[in-house]
Amino acid sequence: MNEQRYAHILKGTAIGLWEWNILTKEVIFSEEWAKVLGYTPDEISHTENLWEALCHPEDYEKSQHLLESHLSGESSFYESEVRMRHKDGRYIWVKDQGKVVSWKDGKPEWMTGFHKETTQAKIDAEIKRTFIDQAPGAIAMFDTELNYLAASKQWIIDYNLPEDIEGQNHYDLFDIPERWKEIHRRCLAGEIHQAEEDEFFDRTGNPFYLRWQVKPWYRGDKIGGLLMQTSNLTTFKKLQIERLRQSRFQETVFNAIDVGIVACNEKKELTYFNKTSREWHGLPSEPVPASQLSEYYSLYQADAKTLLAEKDIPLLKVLEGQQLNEDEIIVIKIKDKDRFVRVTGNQLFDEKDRMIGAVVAMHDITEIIKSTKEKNLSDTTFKSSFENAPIGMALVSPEGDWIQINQQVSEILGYTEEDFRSFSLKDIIYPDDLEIDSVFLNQLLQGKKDNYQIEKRYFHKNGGIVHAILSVSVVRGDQNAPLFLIKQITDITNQRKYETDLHKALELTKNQNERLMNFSHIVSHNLRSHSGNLSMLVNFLKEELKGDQAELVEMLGSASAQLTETIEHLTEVTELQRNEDEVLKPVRLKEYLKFTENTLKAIIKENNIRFIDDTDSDILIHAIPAYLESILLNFTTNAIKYRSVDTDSYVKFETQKLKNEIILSISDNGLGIDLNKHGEKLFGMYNTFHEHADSRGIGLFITKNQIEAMGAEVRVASKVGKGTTFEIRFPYEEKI
Amino acid sequence: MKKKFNTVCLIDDDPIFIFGASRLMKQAAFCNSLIVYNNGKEALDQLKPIMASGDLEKVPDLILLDLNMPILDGWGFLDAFITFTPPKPIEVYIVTSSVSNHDKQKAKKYADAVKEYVIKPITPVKLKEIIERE
Repeated sequence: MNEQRYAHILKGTAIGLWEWNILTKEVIFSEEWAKVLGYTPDEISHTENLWEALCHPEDYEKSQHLLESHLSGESSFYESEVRMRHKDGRYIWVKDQGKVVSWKDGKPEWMTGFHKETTQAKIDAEIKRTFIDQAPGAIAMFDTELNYLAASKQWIIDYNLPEDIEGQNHYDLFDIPERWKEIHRRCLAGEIHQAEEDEFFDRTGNPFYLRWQVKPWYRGDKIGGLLMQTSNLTTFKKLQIERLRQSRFQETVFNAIDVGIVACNEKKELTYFNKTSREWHGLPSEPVPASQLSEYYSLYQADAKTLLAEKDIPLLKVLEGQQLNEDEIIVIKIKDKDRFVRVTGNQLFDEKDRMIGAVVAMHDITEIIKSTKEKNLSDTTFKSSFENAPIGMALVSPEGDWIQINQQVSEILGYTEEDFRSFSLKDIIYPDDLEIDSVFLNQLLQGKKDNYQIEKRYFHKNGGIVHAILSVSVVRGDQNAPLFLIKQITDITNQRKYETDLHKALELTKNQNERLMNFSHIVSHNLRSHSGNLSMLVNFLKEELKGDQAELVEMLGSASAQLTETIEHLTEVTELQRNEDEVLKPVRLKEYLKFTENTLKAIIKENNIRFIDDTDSDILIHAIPAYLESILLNFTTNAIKYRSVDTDSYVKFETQKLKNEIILSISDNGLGIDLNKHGEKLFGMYNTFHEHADSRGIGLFITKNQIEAMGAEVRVASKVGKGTTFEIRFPYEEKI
Repeated sequence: MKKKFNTVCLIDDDPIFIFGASRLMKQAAFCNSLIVYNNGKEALDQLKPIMASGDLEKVPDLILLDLNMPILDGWGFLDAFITFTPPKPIEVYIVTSSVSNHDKQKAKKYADAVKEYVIKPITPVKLKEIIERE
């Protein structure tokens, strides 16, 4: 009965209803149910095994399992999607749903439900999942509980996940920080979150970089879950960091070197200046056209006068593909100073080897050029002074080998330059002089002194001995190591010879002088005592003898007295030398003239002589007082002695002050001396020039010696019958 | 005739001078007794005991001293003499043929002992001068 009723109802519905009596195994289908599988209700019988027969064997087990769990009350309804065989033989996807509707004796009795075909939906889902699976990026699809619905292969690889990810929970697989959970929640509420680049750290702490997006997906107008998409930027990022480091390194190097670097692009626009080139030029405020580059940056040819033509600018030459010279030198005027710059350069290419510009490096060689010039100059100067030196010069290695010898050395020693190559200087040094030289040389090489000078003897090529002064100085290089020695040889052989001769002459004079001294000693001591005795004895005789004998004794007495006087004079002469240590002092000439006049007052008056003192009263002369006294007395006495008896006689004193001397003139109008005859002997010992009773000839000799002992000199002018003028020249210093 | 000096000592090596000097001294009534020594050493050797004896008669009032002598010259004698402390004042006259300034200056260094530097030959005038001075 019931069966009939239900059958009727089922027939009329448009859905594939079914009813199943669990206890009796009775099954009732609607017409539509059969139609889903391609059958008319007549074509299939409502047998107990019908469903099992049509269900895909692989799906049956699963659906039985789901059914059991509903019947046992574990699930509130039964649902299973399985493949069923269609009438045409293919399997279609069918979704089966049902619920227990009645119980008998506490056991489920009737269950009712329906099924419908889901093949298209199933294919659609499959396509979608395949789309996600096969997506080239890392993408994953989650339901609202963050269970995986699908994940692309890339995702699986990127996050090192198992293949069979579907159904697993994202939060179980990863330790997701709260920040991300918040983002997930917001996205599930409809927001979209993304970042172009975000830094993460993996389990080992290594950084990795992601671009990511999280957004909801919709089922109808309801949010079905989340889509996450990430791109791993780590490799790219690492490259980027590496490139940054490289460019920073290059920049640092470029800025650290003292080389100006400038680059341009293919349009001749300057694109890069390093620190040095910036310092030279500053940065232009606006691009400088190629035609004005030389003027703008003060680029000149190596002559520092001609501006560089555009085609000669090294950077542009390089850009044009021209090879630069080995020594491409230009001058850059920087703050009015000429900087000589050597330029090297290359073209620049991009990754496809397309030429995109050029770069030049500019080395400032101003100092090098300057020091080279100076060196050349000093080399030339040295060479010229070396060759033309008036003394012998030789460059010698510290080991004693000749490096260079000038002409003078050859002339001094007689050897040709060729000869010198065959022996060392040591070979021609006088053996006795070898040691002293090597002592000094060692001190020189050890750095204890920089030069020394010694007197040395060499053997001339002709066998003679050359006396020389040897000056040696050392030229040191790095670490003070001696590079070479400069030897200067001055020939003093002639000086040596003169010195020796002079020395001999001196020795001879000394000996003679000594003999003379001994002689004078004999005179003054012995001879004098004999003459003294003689005169004493004569006096005794005088007392005892009378008459003719007395006259004889008188004459003997006179001879004895003359002998005594002669001896006294001789003694005086020798005394002169002994008094050399007498000291000169400034004295007033006028006072000494007064003294002279007073001393000789008696004979001046007696002989009617005019004593004329025309000297300046302020004249001071440097003199030994006793000598000056004696000199003045002597000249005055001479003038009186040798006066002309015919004329009105005078003796006149005059002074004349010159720059460095004072001249005292003593003139008279007396007899005069024939200088032609007697000039040379005038001041000699025992020369008399007048037949005059008192003339002894010793006076002028002593006077001259006294004058010379005071550093002065005496001259005479005289004419027989006219008079005599003596001129004494005293050295004079302004200070006295 | 009263003699001016009691004892006079002549130190000289020249026998002619000794002869001449003694004769002149006799003529001038110069002294009662004359002691003659031929060099400085002999003089010192003899004078030392005389001065030590305390016999003032024998100690000379005056010494005439030559400079140039063998064995010990006049300077040597003076150097020793000035260290003595004679029992009565003794005047020393250097009597020499040396006219050298050097010797004259040197004599001034012994000014305490040496009364005068007399140059030979000695004359009656000089002797008279000495007598009158003392």
